Amino acid sequence: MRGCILSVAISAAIAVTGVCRAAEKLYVKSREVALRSAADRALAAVWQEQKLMPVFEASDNLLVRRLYLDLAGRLPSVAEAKSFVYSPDKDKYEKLVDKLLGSPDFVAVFGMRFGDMLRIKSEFPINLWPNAVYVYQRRVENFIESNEPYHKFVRSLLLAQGSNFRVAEANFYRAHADRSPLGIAKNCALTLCGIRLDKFPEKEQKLWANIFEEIGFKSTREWKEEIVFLKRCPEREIILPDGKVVKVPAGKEARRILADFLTGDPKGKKMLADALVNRTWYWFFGSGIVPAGDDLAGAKAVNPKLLDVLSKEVVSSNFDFRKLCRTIVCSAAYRSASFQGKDTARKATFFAAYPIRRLEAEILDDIITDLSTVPSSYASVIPEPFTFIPGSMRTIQIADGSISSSFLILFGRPSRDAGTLAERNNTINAKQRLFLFNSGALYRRVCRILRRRAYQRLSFAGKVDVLYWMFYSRSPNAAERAVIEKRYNALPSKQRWAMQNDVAWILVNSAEFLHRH
Amino acid sequence: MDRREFLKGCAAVAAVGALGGCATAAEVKHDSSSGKSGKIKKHARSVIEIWVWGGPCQLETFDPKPKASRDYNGGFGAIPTNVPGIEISEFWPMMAKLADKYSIIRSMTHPHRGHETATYLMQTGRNPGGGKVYPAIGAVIAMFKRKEYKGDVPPYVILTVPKGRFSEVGFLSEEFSPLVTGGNPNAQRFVVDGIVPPGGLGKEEQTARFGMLEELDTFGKNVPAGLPVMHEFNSVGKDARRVIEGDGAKVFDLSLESAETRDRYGRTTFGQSCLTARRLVESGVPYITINAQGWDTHKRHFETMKTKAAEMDKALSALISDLSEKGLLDSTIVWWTGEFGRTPKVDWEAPWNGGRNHFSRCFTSLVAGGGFAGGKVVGASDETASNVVSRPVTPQDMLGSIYELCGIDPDGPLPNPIGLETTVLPPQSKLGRLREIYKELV
Repeated sequence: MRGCILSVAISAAIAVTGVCRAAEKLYVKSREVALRSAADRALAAVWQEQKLMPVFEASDNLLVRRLYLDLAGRLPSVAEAKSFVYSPDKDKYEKLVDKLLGSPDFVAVFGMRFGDMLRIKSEFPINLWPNAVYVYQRRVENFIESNEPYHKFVRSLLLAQGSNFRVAEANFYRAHADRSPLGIAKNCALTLCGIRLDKFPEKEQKLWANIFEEIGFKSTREWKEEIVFLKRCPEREIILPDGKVVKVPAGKEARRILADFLTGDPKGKKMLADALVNRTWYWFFGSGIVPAGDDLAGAKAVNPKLLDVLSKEVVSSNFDFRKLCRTIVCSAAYRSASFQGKDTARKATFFAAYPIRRLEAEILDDIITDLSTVPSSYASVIPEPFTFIPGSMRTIQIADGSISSSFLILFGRPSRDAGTLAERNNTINAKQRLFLFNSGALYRRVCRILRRRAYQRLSFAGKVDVLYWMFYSRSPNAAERAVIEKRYNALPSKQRWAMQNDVAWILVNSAEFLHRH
Repeated sequence: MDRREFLKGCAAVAAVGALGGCATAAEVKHDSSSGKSGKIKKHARSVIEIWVWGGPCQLETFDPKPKASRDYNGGFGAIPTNVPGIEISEFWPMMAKLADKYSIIRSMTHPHRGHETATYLMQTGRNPGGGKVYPAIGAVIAMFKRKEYKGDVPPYVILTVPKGRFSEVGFLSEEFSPLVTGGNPNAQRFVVDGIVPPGGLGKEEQTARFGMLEELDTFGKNVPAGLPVMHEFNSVGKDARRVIEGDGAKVFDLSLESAETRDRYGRTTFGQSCLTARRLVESGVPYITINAQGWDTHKRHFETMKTKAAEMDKALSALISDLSEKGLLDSTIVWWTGEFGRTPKVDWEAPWNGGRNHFSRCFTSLVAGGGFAGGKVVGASDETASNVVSRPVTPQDMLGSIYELCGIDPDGPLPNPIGLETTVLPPQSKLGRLREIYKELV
C-alpha cells in the first residue's frame, strides 16, 4: 500500500516539476514528507480530507535555511549550510534542530518574540523606563535559556509585586498603554489566553477588570522607580477565563485565583496551552492553527485536532516550550515544500505547503550586518539616559522596543503598543523596494560583503558561488551562471571587478533572499 | 506622567473644550446666517508642515512680550510687521515683511509636556493610550487624496529625517506611510534614499542592472496560478522602478533651480528642504513634512535662537513668498508648529545658562495659504505668554481646520483596514475650528 502511494507521488512530482522551470527543482525533493508524530497524523488527516496529498518535502538547502532563520534568527553561514546539505547522516535534521535549540541564538530570537508579546519598551505609550526594560528582558531570556516551564513563568508574572527595578516580573503589570484594571485585564486575556475582551459584553469585562482592581502603583524617590503593590479590596465577584464566576472575599487576592486556575486547574492549563501553541505555531508559519494567532475565538481552527494534540503534549510535558518548538519544526508541515504545483496556495492554508513570507525587519537587518560585517545603528526619540549598544549586539537582542531605526520602522517592526501579533507588519511595499534598490547606506554595506581576504583570492565564478551560498544556501544553477557570465564577459575588463557588487545587489533585491520559503 | 498630572491634564482639556465652545458659538451662528453652514469650500491641494521638533518658544517667534521683564523675554524685543498692529519677535525681520500672507495663532494649548505624548496629540488629534495607534495627519491626508493625486512620488514625504513613530500610519494601510528622503538637499547632489542611485551610477548602468535582476529573480514567478505574496512583491517592485526611472526623481534634482532661487532660500539644509517642498507641491504631492531639528533649547536658548531663527526666517519667508508669486499659495497650506512651546520664565542658573523648558499651556503656531486668510491673529496670551487669555485653540481645532480646508470632513468616518468604527477626529473638536480666519468666511 505504502509503495503504491509512493509511486503515485513520484509520477505526480514529475508532472509538477515538469511545468516549473529548472530553478524550481532546487526547492523541492521528489519525495513525500514522512509522517512521524501524532501531530503529523493530525495534519495528514486534514490533507487527505481536503485531497491535498501528495505533499512534497523541501530540499535540504531550504530546510537548513528555514531552521537557522527560525531557531537562530539568522542565515546559516556558507560552511554551516554546506555541512548540512552534504552530510550523509540520516538524523542530520534532528541533530541540527537540537543543536540550534540549545544555542544562545535561540534565546535571542525568542527573547524578541516574547518581548513583543509582553510589550517591552521604555517609552510612550508603555513607559516601562530603561532600567525596568533591561531587568524584564533579562527575566524573559532566563525563562527561555533555562527552559523554565511556561506555566511557572506565567505564575511568577501574575503574582509579582515590588519595585520595577528589583522585581523583574512586576513589570508585567506596568507594561500596558492603559493601566486601569480593565486595561490590564484586556492585555492579560490577550497575552495569556488569546481572548479579546473587547468582544465581550460589558458585564463580563467588568468582572474581568475586578481581578486587577487590587493592583496599585506608587513611585519612590529613585528616578523612575515604581512599586507595584496590592491594595486591599472589598468583597467582589470575578470571572475566570472559562466563564465561571467566583466570589472573592474582602482582602483576598483575586489574581491568585486566576493564577491557580491557569497553572493548576486542568481546564485552565488547557486554555493556557492552547494559547501558547497557537501563538508559537504562528511564529513558525506566519499564521496560527486558528489563523489570527492570538485570537482563539476569532475564526475556526484550520485543523482543530492538531491544536488539541499539540496542546495536550504541552500540558503533559509540563509546559516545555523548547519541546513544543522541536515538535513543530520536526513536523511534516514545517518540512513541506513551498512550491507544489497549482494547488500551492490552497495547500498553504492547510499547512501542506510551507507558507512564503517576507523576512522580519530585525532579522533582515541582522543578516545584512552579518554579511557585510558593518553593524547597524539605532536611535531613540528620547535620548535619555544614554544607552550603549556594542557593535556585537544583534538587532534581535535589542531589549527596548523604543530603540529603533528608520530601517526597522520601514520594514514593519512591531511597535509593542498593543502586544498583538498583527502589530508586526511583514507585507512588502514600494518604499521598501525603493530602499533595497537604491539606499546609499545599504549599498555601501552590500559592497563590503566580499571584502574579506579569503574571498579576494577566488575567481569570479568562485565568488558568485560563495554569494549564492551566503544568500540562498545553494549553488547557482547552470541558467543563472550563464546569465551572470554573459554579462561579465560583455564588460570591458577594467570594469569587471565591480561586477561582484552587482551580483550581491541583485541577490539582496531578489525574492528568494527576502522571503522565508 | 503620573496619575495626578494626567488628571490635571484631563481637567485642562475639558476646560479648554468648554471655552472653545463659547468663543466660537458666534462664529457658527454667523455661518448659518450667511448660508454657509458647515459647507466649507475646499481650497488646499497640498500641505507643507514645518515641524519645529523640540518646541519653539512662543516669545522668540510670533508672540513677543517686549514689555515683560528680562526674566521672561531675555532682553529681546519685538518688531512691527507690514500689517499695522501685529508685532513679531525681532529674530524674524524677513517674516515681518510678509505678515499679510500668514496668520498667527497665539493661543495654542494642550496638557502634554513630554515630547512623545505632545507630538502624538499634535499629529493625530488623539490622546495617547487605549492600545490603538491613530494615524498622523499626513497619512490621513495621503489616504483621502489618493484618487486625485496621480504622481509617482509617494503622497506623503518627509524631508529629510524621520519623525519615527510620530509620522506613522497607525492602523491605516502601509501605502500611506511617509517616504523619508534622507540625504541632504544642501549637498552637491541631493541623494534621496531609494530614488537616486548611490555611487554615481548612470542611467544606462542602472537599466542594465535592473535587466539582470529581472533575468535572475525567477523565484516564485513560475508557479502555476501564481501566489498572492509573490504577485504583490513583483507589483510593488514595478511601482518602485517607476519612481526611480520615471520623472519622479527629477522633483528632487535641485540643480534644475537657478542659483538665485537657491540662494533666496538660504544654502542650509532647512532652506533647501523648503525649496524641495515647493517643488513637491508643484508636482502635486499632497503632504510634505519638513522636520526641523534643534529647537529643544533647554540650555543657552538665546544663543541658539540667533542662528536657528535667522536660518528659518530666511527659508520660511522665501517659501511663503515664492509660493505666492507662483500662484500656489491659495492651494497650499503652510503650517508651522512645534509639539509645544517653552517655559516663559528663563532659567538663568547653571547648567541651563539661560534655558527654557517644555511648555504646552500656551504656545504659538502659524498658518498661511490654502484657504487661510493672512494678516490675522487668533487668540491672545497674557503679559508673559504663560496663559491663554482668549480663544484657546486645541490641537484638534488646528487639525480640524486643516482637514476642512483640504476638503476632508473631520467629523466623517475614517476608513481603515482593521474595521474600527471611528471618525477622522474625535467628536469634541467640532466647535473650536479656526473659521474666523477662513478666507471665504472673513
